[in-house]
Amino acid sequence: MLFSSLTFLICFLPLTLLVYYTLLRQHRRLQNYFLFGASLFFYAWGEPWFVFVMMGSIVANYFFGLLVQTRKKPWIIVVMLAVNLGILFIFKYFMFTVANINLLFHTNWTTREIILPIGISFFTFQAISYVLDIYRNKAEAQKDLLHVGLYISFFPQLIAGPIIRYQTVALQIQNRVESMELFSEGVCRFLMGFGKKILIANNMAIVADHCFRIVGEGNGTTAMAWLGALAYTFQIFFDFSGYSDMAIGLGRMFGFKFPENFNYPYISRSASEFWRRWHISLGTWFRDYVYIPLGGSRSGKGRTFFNLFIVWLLTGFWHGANWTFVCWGFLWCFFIILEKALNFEKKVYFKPLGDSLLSRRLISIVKHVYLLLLVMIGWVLFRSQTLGDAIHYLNLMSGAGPEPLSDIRTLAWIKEYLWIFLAGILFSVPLGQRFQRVPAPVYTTLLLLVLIVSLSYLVKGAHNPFIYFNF
Amino acid sequence: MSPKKNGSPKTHMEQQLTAVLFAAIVGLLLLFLLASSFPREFLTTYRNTVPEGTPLLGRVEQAVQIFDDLLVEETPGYEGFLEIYGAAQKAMGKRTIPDPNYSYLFLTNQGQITYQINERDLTEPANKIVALKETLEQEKIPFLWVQAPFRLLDETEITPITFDYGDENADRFLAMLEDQGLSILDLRVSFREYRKQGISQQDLFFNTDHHWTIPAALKATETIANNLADKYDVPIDPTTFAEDQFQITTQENSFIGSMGRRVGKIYGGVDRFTLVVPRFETDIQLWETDYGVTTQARGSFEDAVLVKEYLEDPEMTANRYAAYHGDNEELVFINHKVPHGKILIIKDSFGVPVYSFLSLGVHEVRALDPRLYKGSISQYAKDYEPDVVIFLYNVDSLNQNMFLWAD
Repeated sequence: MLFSSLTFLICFLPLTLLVYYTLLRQHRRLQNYFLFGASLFFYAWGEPWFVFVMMGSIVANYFFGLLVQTRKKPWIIVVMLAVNLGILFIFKYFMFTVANINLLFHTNWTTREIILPIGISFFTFQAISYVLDIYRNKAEAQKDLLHVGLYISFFPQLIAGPIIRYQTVALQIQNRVESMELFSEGVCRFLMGFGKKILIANNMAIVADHCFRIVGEGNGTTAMAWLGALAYTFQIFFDFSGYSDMAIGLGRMFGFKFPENFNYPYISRSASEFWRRWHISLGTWFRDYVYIPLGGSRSGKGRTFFNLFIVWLLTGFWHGANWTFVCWGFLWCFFIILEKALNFEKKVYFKPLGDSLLSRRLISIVKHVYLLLLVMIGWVLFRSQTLGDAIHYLNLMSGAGPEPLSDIRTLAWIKEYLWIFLAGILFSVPLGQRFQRVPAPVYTTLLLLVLIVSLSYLVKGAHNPFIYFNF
Repeated sequence: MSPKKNGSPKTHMEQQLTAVLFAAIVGLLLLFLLASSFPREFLTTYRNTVPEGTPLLGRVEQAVQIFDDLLVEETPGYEGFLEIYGAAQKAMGKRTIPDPNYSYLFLTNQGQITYQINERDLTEPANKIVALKETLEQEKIPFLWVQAPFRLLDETEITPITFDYGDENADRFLAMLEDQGLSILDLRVSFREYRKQGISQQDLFFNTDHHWTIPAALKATETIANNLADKYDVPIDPTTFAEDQFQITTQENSFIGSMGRRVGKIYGGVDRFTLVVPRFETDIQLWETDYGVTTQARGSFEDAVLVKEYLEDPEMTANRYAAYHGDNEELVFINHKVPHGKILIIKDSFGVPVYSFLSLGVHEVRALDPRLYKGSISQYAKDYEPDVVIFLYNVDSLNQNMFLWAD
């Protein structure tokens, strides 16, 4: 089930809230069991088979947790990783591996088509962090299997994150405090995310899909390629951060406080800063469970760069079993290493101009332009089906090919989606937070307007893609 | 947008007010949904769709699909939400509307809502028509292809971000038929002529529906009748279809067609509907057959042919165009005032007013709809022995699915 669906919004959510806050009020254990059951129902909606995969993961990691609590043996962790990553490998990377073996060794192995369970990368990483946190004495093993189940499968963060650490919510599972204030915050946050997803991301998806298709068919122009890249840049941000907002908001409605996952990433001025602001829960997961255990930045530059390479290789693969994702990871890795090597983030003014306001502003603009170019080039790699498609697209963006620079279609697309592009710009920068300061009646009216208009898009059956199938 | 990190948090009062109203809205939607026909519709559709013996998980998957699909149509306040959607698109100046069935709907420069037609390979359909014509030729039954127009989308009338291959498809298709010696009456030519004479696009086509207007269909019928009289010796008097032979009644703001129903009236507006009925005395007997059941009516054109429910329905979304007896598997019109002439017409929905009007000029008209009639058309024609077989398709009907009859 998707948050951005009528089934969720006018059936699942009100019924779940109703049962949680009326029938089960004052019964924490029953509330948790109910949320676990509701989460399984949420996951099974549409793809009932895969709920058994997730339940298998829950049971296995519950026992790993208990085992590692009493016997702090590294082999348990090795087995736990083998099981979790094995499941992930089978569903996500097996077909990719076979295809590449066939390509490399000219073999002809065949596999059945394996469908990827939605959100498998998210819940697998949560499960791994659960056992690792116990192993590192950062959390106690949960005695109640259903509570482990609730942690791994809790529907707000199940299919698109944020990736929640067990230590973050361990206490909240049994001792959270629901309040009208928290619930209301949650509703407002949910509505912001709902609007971001339905009104901005889904509309930008139409432009991006069109431009990538036209360019793929060889009928594009340089301007259209840039427009498509820009539209996808907005689509993926508002889709992903919208989902995170909805997840955080839903968590609050049930008394949970989840960490932030996005912090205006497009205002960044370096690749490193961007990744401190984009998909924060994934970045910190890799930092804490891969980068730091590998030695982090404490063992010299060479080792640091190697550690970064490993992290970005894994980050690329985490996003999907395709060389485009790996290359996308390498692209970020290259620029992050380059920035570290050049002390890029510490350069705050142009040396030839001295430390003046103009010099600082100038370098700030240059850094921002550099980051946005890097982001857009990265998203082209990310969005393309093959490396060949990505190269063709980037080549068109560069203006080096024989294709025309622009045509009347591009202008018409801009005109058609102008308001959505403007909203995209507005809510990509902290200017959008002024919305928080408008007078109370205006605030309430605007949020409810977002709800009603977004609902109208769902009723109309407008374009509503789900872009996390690879994750 | 963390309230903590990104600006001052809202005071609890406005957030609580928002939360209360949110809960009220989704709660009421749920209540109205449960009280509506949705639960019953869901169960009925499930029982009718999911075959017995389907494995449990397969049943669950299908139940989910039915639930999700049905919920969109049955959402409480569906039409209100559609109007809000349309108003939002209008406020943003949007010319294209994504649509789950048509991919896109778009607004032409003439203010008409239509959809785009993709480029299609029409070799197989053309071959099928040529084969049918050759079979009929052996039986000495003449054959005429009538190409009905679809919107007349010249380049100046669509936005640069949309495309339309409708006329290109038709041009290629007609060229293939002409190469094989088929007779063609291309109504697009006469309709473009009407435009040059100053007849507006709105007089020829509805703004909110993809069909031609009833007066335009009458003009088309007159052109067809002229052609039949001149080239096929069909005993038909084209003056029967002259405009002054008909009483024309226009009701402003009374019709929202199938395109308008998809975007709401705020965006698409409301059409006028013009009813055209003969001034002269008529005596028509009409048999209609659907799914093996035949019913019969006899009386004046208004009584026997017109489906009055569509005209009297106060809902503007009622399908008034279908008042001219639309979309039946087989229709047989006998005109007791005219002694001669037999026409078999194979048609899409553009043929609805045309066959009704044609029935005023000859003794007998039979109409088959290939979307519903699955028998052999050539065999039907051999048995019936009409003076002429007419195929009337609009430009969008030139697709594989409209050529599936058993020949």
